This record gives sequence, structure tokens and C-alpha cells, in this order.
Amino acid sequence: MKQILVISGKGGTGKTTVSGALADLASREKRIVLADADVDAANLELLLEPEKQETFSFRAGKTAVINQDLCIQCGRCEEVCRFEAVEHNEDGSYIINESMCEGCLSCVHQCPVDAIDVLERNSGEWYRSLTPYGTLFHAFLYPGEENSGKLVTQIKIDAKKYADKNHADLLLIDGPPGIGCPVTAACQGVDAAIIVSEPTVSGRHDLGRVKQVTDYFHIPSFLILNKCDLNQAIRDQLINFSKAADTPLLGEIPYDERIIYAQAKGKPVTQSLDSTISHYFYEIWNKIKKRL
Amino acid sequence: MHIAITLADNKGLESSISSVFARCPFYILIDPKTKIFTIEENPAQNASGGAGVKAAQWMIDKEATAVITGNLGPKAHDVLSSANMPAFKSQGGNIEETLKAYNEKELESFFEPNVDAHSGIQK
Amino acid sequence: MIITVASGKGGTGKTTIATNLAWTISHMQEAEKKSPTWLIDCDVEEPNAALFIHPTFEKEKKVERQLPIINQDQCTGCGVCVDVCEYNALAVAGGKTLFFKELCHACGSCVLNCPEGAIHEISETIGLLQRGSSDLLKFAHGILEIGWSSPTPIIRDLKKWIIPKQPQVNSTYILDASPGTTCPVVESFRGADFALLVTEPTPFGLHDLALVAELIFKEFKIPPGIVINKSGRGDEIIEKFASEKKIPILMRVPLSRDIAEAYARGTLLVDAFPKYKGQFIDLHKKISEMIRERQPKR
Repeated sequence: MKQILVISGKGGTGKTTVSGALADLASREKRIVLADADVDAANLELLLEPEKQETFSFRAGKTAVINQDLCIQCGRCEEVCRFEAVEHNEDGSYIINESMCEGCLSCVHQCPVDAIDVLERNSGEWYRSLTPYGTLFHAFLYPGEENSGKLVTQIKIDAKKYADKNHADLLLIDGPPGIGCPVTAACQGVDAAIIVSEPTVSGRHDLGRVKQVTDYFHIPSFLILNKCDLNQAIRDQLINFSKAADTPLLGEIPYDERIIYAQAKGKPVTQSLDSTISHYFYEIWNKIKKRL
Repeated sequence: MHIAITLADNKGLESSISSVFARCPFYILIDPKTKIFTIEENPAQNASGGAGVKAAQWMIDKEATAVITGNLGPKAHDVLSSANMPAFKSQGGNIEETLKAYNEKELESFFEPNVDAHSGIQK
Repeated sequence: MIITVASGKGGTGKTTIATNLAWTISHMQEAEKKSPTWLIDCDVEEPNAALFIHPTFEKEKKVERQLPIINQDQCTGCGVCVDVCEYNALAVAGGKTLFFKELCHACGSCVLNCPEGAIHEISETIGLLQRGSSDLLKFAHGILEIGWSSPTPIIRDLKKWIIPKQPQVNSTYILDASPGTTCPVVESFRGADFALLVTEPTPFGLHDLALVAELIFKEFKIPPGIVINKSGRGDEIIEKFASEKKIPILMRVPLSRDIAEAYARGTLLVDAFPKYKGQFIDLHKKISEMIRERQPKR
């Protein structure tokens, strides 16, 4: 069973478009399990028509709450808080701003009268769903929450367990944008990373940064160039990068508004595009298949 | 004298062995000679981060004399090696077979953290 | 006024709108009494705005946090630090206390709780801030050090460095937020006067727009407005949502290959297609009016 992660660094390059298309093509020949690790803005489910089978509650981290009956208003909590989460009101009382609180509990330990309680944060949910392409593990992180790295890890653990148990050939993971904690969590244990980039100044800039992350974790990386004909000069630079940085090019997809409209239908684009464009995706899948 | 083994479930001596060190649901602490054992819930399985560190610390605090698991991350490895805690790679099989292999010194030791080694995709 | 530009979904055109709006405003004030216009790129994981603005950087500032360092001679291996650390960044093993920097949140709890006083702190760099200007526009951004997990402290420091507690009257700060709806985006909205939500007319744009809008209504009482980028076929789904939530659609930029190509080579929209200058001036006017009215439209 192989694990492939699709990432981009920059958002909007077409990561989810590619993941959706690969899910469609791969599922026609192999047994696959899917995971949407972009828990912050989970979009893959908008292409796969999932039917939720199980819902799990996600609790991450803690938050501190001052018990006003016990509080002696000494201000020690505000002194020790490194995250500016303790507010001092005009009437002299102290209150903890939950959205700033990072749950380090330093104030809890330092409070001389034990006036601070600890609560678990209810941060989101994750789901196991059925789709026409394979079982999908996806999540919903409540807006304003943190700790998406842990949720990514949770989904991947569940997805891998399920894939192993059901003898899947491939676990395909739609990754998060950026280079931070959720991306590093998504990278753990994968066999390959496919970076979807575009020949724009932003795409070029972010490709370098995301490659640093996959290099850091010694993950073999591959490149797909989306909207490849937007700029020839940058396209050439990216192709050179792909050679120089040992990131083999799996394929290129031209800028075509038909792809945008196909995606808006709520299915992988390979389900509705005619062969004049869909063949770009087929070629990419064929290259991946050979290497599995 | 008891060694710690990572478990995927709790069915006494019939439990399945887990290859995951830090987030498996249970650990068994078992005397490899007498087979006297206890099974406990893994306190690290729900950690937001540093689960490997927490799990390793727990085993040290429980005074395990060795650990048997499938994969060991770099931080867990650092903690266990600092404590001179022997750690061995499980070979699959059940608890009985694993203990036999352990007693006969057939299990491979963890020299380096092995979760960096991805099974790989050819380029 | 402080305007935060966000989208939920990455790639909808947040940076396009933020950069062009900031550029246009800064040039608008040429004839008037000068008050600064700032563009602050808060997407510290992948800061891109500079690619379009080409600022000359004048100052830099490291973002540092205090991380613990353990004096092993004074340490008795009592394990209190291990118990208090919520992030499992410490372990006592083989008579030594181990510290894992990548797990540390720099909260200082271990330092305070060590009964032997064996833990001290040392400054570590977790990011870098840069500020400068391009023509009449002032610019700043933050860059997250690879390996450090949380962008939020860098964004916090960036805003503190640039935005004074009492901003000058008529000064404008435009914050380009990162994609998503979690902590770093919340930090980018904190203290803002207006939420400019950029979306695209697809189910993805709508899905993420709804998440960001919920965040605004839940956490912040500031007026929101929508810009539809890549507008054209499909606008109806955004219009329906906007009407339900009573959020005005303030501007539309059409889906156009020419615009995509200008973006690809790093040219500002208003430079490639000057007719959009007027639209950004209008956008600025509408936002100013809505801030003056100071009512979140629900």
C-alpha cells in the first residue's frame, strides 16, 4: 500500500483539482482510500459526493478559565501569560480570552489560590465517508480553532488503518497549502509528494519553500505544472528546477476555463471533460501508475 | 522484570500487536519468563503533539526493561536511548511468538529511528 | 483604517485584491496631505505580495521567543517540568532532562515550575520581519522560519511593529491574510475595521467564503464586504449567499486569461489594465463609507 500526498505550497494552483482527478482515474483500476488533509478549508469533499458513515469529535488542547468566585485579582496570571490571553477589566477582574489562550496552563500552576480551571477544547469533527471512488476521511475544523496539525495526523492514522485493513493499493492524500505544521503533519510517513505548481511568480516562489519541507523529511517529490501555458519564461524556469532539484515532472495541464467549469459541477473534472483536455490527467496518472 | 509491547487492542494474551509506538491504544507490560502481565491504555494516544516523547517517558516511569514495537520515531528513540532502554522491532505474529523471539534474542534492535525510511517510490 | 483581506480558500485572489487596492490608495493620496498607506502581508508561510510590489527593504527585525535551556548539573531529574509541559517537549531519561525544541510553545511554564531553578531561557529566532516601501506605498511582511510550527506569533509581532496603538488619522493599513480560517487568520483580523472577503464563483469559493463569514460574525463585529474574483459564469451562487447574509458585493474582476497572464508575470492588475484603477478607488470609497457607518450588516 503506497501513500501519495498532493501539496502545492501556494494555494489555488489546482491541488484539489488534481487530487480529484487522480482519485477518479486511480479508483477505476485500483482499490484506493482517500484523505482530505486540508482540514482548514476542506474542499475535496465538494468533488466526491461523500456520504458520511461515521462522525468523530475532535478535541485538541485545553483552555483555562478563571473562577471569579475564587479569584483574588492578584494579576499573577496576566504576568505569566506569554500569549496576551489574560484581560484585565476596568472593574479589576481578570478574564481569559479563549481565542488567545493556547492551553499551556502556566497560569493554572502559578495561581496562588487555584482559581483557574482547565477545559478541553472542542475544536472540530472528522468523518469517514463513502464516495464512488473509495472511502474518504475528511474533517471540519471549527473556524478560529488551532491545532490543525493534530487533526491532520488523526485523519491520516484512521485512513492508513482503514487502508491497511481493507488491503487498499493506494492512499491518496489531498494536502494543506503552505509549509507549516499541517503540512509537516501531512508529510509524515508518505512514500511520495506530488507538488502542483503553476508558472507564475507566486507559484515559483512557493515551489522552492515547499520543496524545502519535503527535502527536510526525505520524501521523494514530483512536479505537476498546472496552467502551464500562462507564462513560457517561468514555465522554463520551473522545468529547469524540476531537473536540478530531482523533482521529476509528471505532467503539465494548460490553462483552460473548461477545467474551472467542469470542477464547478461538483465531480472530478475527468468525469466531464472531453478527451482533448482530460488526456493531460490520464497521462499523469499513467506516469504515477508506472512508478507505484 | 517486565517488557512493554505496543498493542492494537485489548484481548489479554490474544491481543494483536501494533506497529505504531506512540499512538497505539494499549500497552502490555509483561514478564517474558512468567508471562504475568497488565494491559494499560496508552496515555499518549490523544496527545496534540509529542506523543512519542510522552509514550517513551511513560515506559521509563513504568520501569520497563525493554520495548517491542514496529516503528520508532526519532524523538521516542532519543528518549529511550538516553534511558538506555533496549528497544526491539516486532516481527509480526502474536504476543506468545514475540516473547519467544525476544527470549531467544532473535529480534532486531532499533539502531536508528526507522520511520524516516519510506518504502519509496522509484524515480 | 485597517482593512483585512481574507478568503478562506487559497488562490481566489486575496493578494491580487490587497496589492492593487493598496497600490491604488497610496497613489490616490499623492495630491492630498500625505498620510501613510501600508500593505502588510500576513501570509507568513508563503508571503507573495512583495513579488508584485517590489519593495525596497529598509529595516529588518527578528521574531524571537524564549526557549528553555536546562542546567543538567542543577537538575535533579524530579520531572516536574515534564508534568507541567502540555506539549510533551520535555522528558527525563537516564538522569538527563531532554528538550525537544520543535514541540515547544515557548510558554515559560517549565521555567517557572522548576523547584531547583535549573531552567533558564535563551532567545531563539522563529521568524523574520521586513519593512520598506515601493514608490508611495509602504510595505511590510513576515517570514516564518522553516521548522517552527506556528505562524501566529510572527503575525502578532508584525502587526505590533507596524501599526501604532493609535494609528494616524487617515492612515490606511491593508492586511493580506493567509488562506484558511484558523488561528493565523483570526490574528490578522484582530483590531481590523473592515473584512474584505475575496471569493470566486465556484462551490469551493462559496464553501470557504461561508466559513470566513461565520468567523467574522462569531468573533469580530466589523463590517464585511465581498469581492468576486474570476467573476462571470457562476456568480449567482455567491450573489445568493451574499443576499442571505446581507453582505454587499463591492466589486467584481472578470475571469480572463489576459488577467491571469498579467498575474503570472507579476504585474499589478492596475498597471496592466489601468481601467481597474477607477474600480479600486470606488472600492476604497465604499469601504470607507461602511466603516463610517460602523455597523456590521447582518
